[in-house]
Amino acid sequence: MTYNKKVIYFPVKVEEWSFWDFVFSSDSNPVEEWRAALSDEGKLYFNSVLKNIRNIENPIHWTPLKRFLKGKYAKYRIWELEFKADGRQYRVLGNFGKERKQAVLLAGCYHKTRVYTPPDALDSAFNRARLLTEGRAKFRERKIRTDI
Amino acid sequence: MSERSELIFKLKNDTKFRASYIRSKLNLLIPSQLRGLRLKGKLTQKQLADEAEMKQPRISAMERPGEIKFALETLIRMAAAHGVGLVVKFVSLSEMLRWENQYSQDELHAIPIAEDEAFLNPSPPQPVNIAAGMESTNQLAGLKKEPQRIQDGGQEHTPNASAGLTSTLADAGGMR
Repeated sequence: MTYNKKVIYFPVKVEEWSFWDFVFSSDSNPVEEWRAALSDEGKLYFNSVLKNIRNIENPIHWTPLKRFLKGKYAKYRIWELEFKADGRQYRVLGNFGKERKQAVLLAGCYHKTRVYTPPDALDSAFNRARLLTEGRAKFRERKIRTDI
Repeated sequence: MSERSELIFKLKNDTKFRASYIRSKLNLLIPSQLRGLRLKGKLTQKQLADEAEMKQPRISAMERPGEIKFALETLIRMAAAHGVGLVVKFVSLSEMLRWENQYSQDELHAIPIAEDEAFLNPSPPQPVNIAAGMESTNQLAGLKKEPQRIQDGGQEHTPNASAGLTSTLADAGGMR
């Protein structure tokens, strides 16, 4: 059927990324604890960041992606998201799960002039990624809010 | 009180918080669109900076959420550099939320002017009533045209509007 040149695009539901929080075996969730302590604006940004990147296929193109960490952190392909809200630089560290399009949030922190708060944020993310790999921790799905 | 209820309460009662809410969305959506447009155009930050007559670090900062406060003029310059338009309109918060929820950086539909056929060659308005023919079309378009004359071997024919296109073409020897 070539006489009708009108092209009809069928909407294809693109598979979205799912986000999972690192959870210690004791059931404490450091990512949620960090998020809950953020300012209201920080919380809104955090949700908007995840909402924004959930349907960007290639993580390299995630708008808030700062970098993939190098050195020992590269072993677990740890990445760093950045956003600035209420005058603070926020960082979220994570890596990829075993399932397709599964992103695991390992730690949240602040950043100012090359200093992370807490200062051991990168190492915490590294250790948590290792615990997950060794099966000594778990992760829990984080639902992105679309109602606010 | 749930977190959402708290936020709604603040949104209803606190102008500053409403500004924070709007900012949190736009400061993601604008950098994301700028990045999406640049990637779609296969441009480096340096190339785009040259096109927009800006410095590359400024382009980089514009693609980082919350990094800069966008001036309307900056957005206009970026739209111009990409060869696309820009719509700024005030809407309800629910419409803004719907936009955010449905937005996808991978599926930006802003076509640069060089490929914007609808803008470059807009199709003429379709006649509403076939019997009324071209006359009504011209009225719809706000045009005043002389009746179309078709030359056929030295003879001139004036198409009869009520007869339609078929008889006109037949008269002109266009349909065999």
